[in-house]
Amino acid sequence: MARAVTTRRKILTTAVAWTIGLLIFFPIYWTILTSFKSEAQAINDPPLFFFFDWTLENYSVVQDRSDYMRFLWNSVILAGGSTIIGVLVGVPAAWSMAFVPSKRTKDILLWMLSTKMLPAVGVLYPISLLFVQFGLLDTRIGLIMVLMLINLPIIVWMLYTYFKEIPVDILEAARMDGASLRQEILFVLTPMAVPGIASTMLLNFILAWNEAFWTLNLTAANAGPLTAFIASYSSPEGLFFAKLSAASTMAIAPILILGWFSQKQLVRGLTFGAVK
Amino acid sequence: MSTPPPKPKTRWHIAVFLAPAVLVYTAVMIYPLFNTLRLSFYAEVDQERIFIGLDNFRTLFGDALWSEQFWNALANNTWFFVIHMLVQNPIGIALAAILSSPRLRFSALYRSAIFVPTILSFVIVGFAWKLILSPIWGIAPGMLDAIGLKFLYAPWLGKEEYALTTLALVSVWQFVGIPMMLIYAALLSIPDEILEAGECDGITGLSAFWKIKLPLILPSIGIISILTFVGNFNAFDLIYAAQGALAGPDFSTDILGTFMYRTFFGFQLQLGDPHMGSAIASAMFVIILIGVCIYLFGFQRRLRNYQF
Repeated sequence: MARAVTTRRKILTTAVAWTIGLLIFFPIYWTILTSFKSEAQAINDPPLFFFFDWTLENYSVVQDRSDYMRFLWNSVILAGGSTIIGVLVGVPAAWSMAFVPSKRTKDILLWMLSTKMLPAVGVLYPISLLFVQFGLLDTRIGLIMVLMLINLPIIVWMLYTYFKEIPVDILEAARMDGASLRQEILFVLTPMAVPGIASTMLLNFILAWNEAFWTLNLTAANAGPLTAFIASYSSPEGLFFAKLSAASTMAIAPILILGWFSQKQLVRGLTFGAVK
Repeated sequence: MSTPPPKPKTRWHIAVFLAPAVLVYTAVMIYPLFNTLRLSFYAEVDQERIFIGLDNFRTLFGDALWSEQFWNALANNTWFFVIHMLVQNPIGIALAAILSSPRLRFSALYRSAIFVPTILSFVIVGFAWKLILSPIWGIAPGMLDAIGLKFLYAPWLGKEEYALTTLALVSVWQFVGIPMMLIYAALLSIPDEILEAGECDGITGLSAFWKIKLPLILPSIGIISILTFVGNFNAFDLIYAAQGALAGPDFSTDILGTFMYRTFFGFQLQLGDPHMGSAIASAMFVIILIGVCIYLFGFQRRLRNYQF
């Protein structure tokens, strides 16, 4: 009886499931929708769900008034920079942990992951002192380093689990055939590791892009990314709902696109590899 | 020059490979973190840092001015966690069950739609919900009015009795994708033979879920619980983004993270006190450690029996 799936039940299940799904998605849909309204329509009562004069005005106003592109550029630089440096630092470490394991390997991994047990606020104080000392406040390079470091445990951990899945036999076979270490890494390991590295980079890019805590506390006008921009906008509430929606939509658009295609890898990273 | 390097040399480059990640990380993140914990045994007297043992903790738990705030934050944090466990897990399981049902169409799109909030920044989540919940500009009052339930509406984020629960539910909304995916993966990994064997014994439909699937996904629920626990007791961003460091109204949404932040950096007229802030950080560390230990030694051991 359980196996007999009638068309009607199928449609019913799909309808119920999609109603729940759309309810969950609604806040995001609403933010995006509001960005295409005029300010008056945005706070119209009753709310306008679809039939209103769609406008792109908010997008141009946001850019004109607050130099949106600069924040966007900062976001790209911070997320991209911290991701590239993080992977450059993380790959060798994960490589040696996965392929030349020792008794200490697990300890080193746990040592790095241990900080995830404590709130980031605990490190903010010493790091901000460090920033003041070296004049790094509100600079991109300082923030790139911080973003790289806070995500480094996840990078190393993810790369480690991906590298672990590469069969060592293949590497040994390459060695038997006389491949040098350089050749082994370049021509044997890299092609097999690329998918893992790519999804690690993707996750790290999204995490760095979203990071609000550090960027809010360590930047002002110069190096602030989109998250700082949106946070600074939200105080004069109500007056700029449509414009803030436009800014938010532009901030989430790249994340939506990247995240849409990489959920599985994201879950793997966010759960520390509990889901493969 | 293509002879493979001899063994000892191999060992040496391992150290070079590991060094940047481990050393830099230790120096810039781990050392300061433990230094913060160490600071909790010190105090500043006449601009000099002196060792005072456990005095900071005595103040934190004994001085009514501090202990009241601490217990308030801890109680709020516990409630925050309870809401997550009671709401997030059942919904996550239900969504995973829907997702794994062969009757659902467009399931990949469905999974994405529910997972999307997880990858958004707290800042955006806070704003998106204000668009909905705000008593003046939000659409929640209008929508409830449309279905005749206007009397249910209250300015949820602005009322002491609702604000924390509302924020906890927003947080559940944001992260429900993770339990969904974890349990979905667990459900998929249940061998068909087990379900078929159950079918032969007349266990189908809902009872198959309760009697066969649920016990088998318990380990996943355990993992979700501990991840949620650590995440919740470290939580800070959402409250900070939505209500500010003061965790209003009247500290009703104050959790340990915001309490520590305020203590560390000061707010309005109160000066920051890194030493008391460190004491709170240490207390949080101990709380999280206890939770993780309970999970590892109490919960996970017993669950091993179920795994195959």
